[in-house]
Amino acid sequence: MRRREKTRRGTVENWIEQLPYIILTGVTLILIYVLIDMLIKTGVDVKPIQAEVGFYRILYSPNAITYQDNLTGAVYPGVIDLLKFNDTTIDALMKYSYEKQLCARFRIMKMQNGKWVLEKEAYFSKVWFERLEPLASAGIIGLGSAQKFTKIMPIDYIKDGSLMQGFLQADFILPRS
Amino acid sequence: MGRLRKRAEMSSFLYFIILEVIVFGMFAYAVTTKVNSAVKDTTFVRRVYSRDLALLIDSLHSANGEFIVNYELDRPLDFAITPQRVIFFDHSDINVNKRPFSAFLFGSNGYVNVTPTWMNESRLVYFLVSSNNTISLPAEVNRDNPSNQDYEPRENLDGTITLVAKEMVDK
Repeated sequence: MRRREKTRRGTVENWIEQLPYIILTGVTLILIYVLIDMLIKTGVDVKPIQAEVGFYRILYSPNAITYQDNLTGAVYPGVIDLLKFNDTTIDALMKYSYEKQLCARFRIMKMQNGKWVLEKEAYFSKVWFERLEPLASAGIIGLGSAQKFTKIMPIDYIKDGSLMQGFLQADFILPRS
Repeated sequence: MGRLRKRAEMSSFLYFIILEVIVFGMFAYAVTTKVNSAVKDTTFVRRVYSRDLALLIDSLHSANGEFIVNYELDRPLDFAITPQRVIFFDHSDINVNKRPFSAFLFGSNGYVNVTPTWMNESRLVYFLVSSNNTISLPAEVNRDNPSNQDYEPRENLDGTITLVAKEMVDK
């Protein structure tokens, strides 16, 4: 009887000694599984490309803000017609069933007395731009926030029949959700 | 006493080894199953194609001239192009509205028409055509063996899709 008790006590003692290692092994394996699960990505972020496509679509589209030859129908993406540079023209170019999909602000800047000043600005989806712009500028990260992409390019613009030089600044805001 | 203690240690060591083998076996099974399901899952592929095709249609809206784009898939997928979005589905016989899908919007306007299209042909190569202010995905219509090429997707208000038969036109 005494011998059997000693045997059982030895076995139990060994198991108790091994318990921390068993728990550690289990926790490590679970963490490896969680790591593998986290590394499997199915999300695709195309916001920078959306901003690029939106920018060039507005520049190259006929019936848009750029100068279009009446005879040939050719579009000159580097020349902006100030008469067509307004919210109505830009909003008519693209309609999304989800209004927040994309919003933008376009500014034509001109050099005056050595400083860049605003010549004219126009919006695509102005209401949503004004709502999301503070979030995007603050750099808040989260599902309800937005990302801002800015593009600047030198352009010519037609004002009162004259060709002027300036810069086009386009700020695109895309919501994260 | 020494022999008894040694036997106790041997048996507990053996039980420990068996337990470890079982735990590692369960771990290997769980990881293999997880990785296999991730490899077979088409969520990522559907998302990539829906975004890619939608952005391509978006950029074709500003195209000046005629364009024919040879669009290739790496696996058979069903997709629908509606006037506002591109939707990719897994290729199967299940009702369209019950399949997992990935969709992406493109901007429409009054100047360019996008022809609603439904494709479930298990093809890997398609031709996206932009011509005369119309963007379409033409497919050959086989009158002897009509397939779902003869249907076009109509978006309902609740977001589901109804496939409506197109009028058959002689070649």
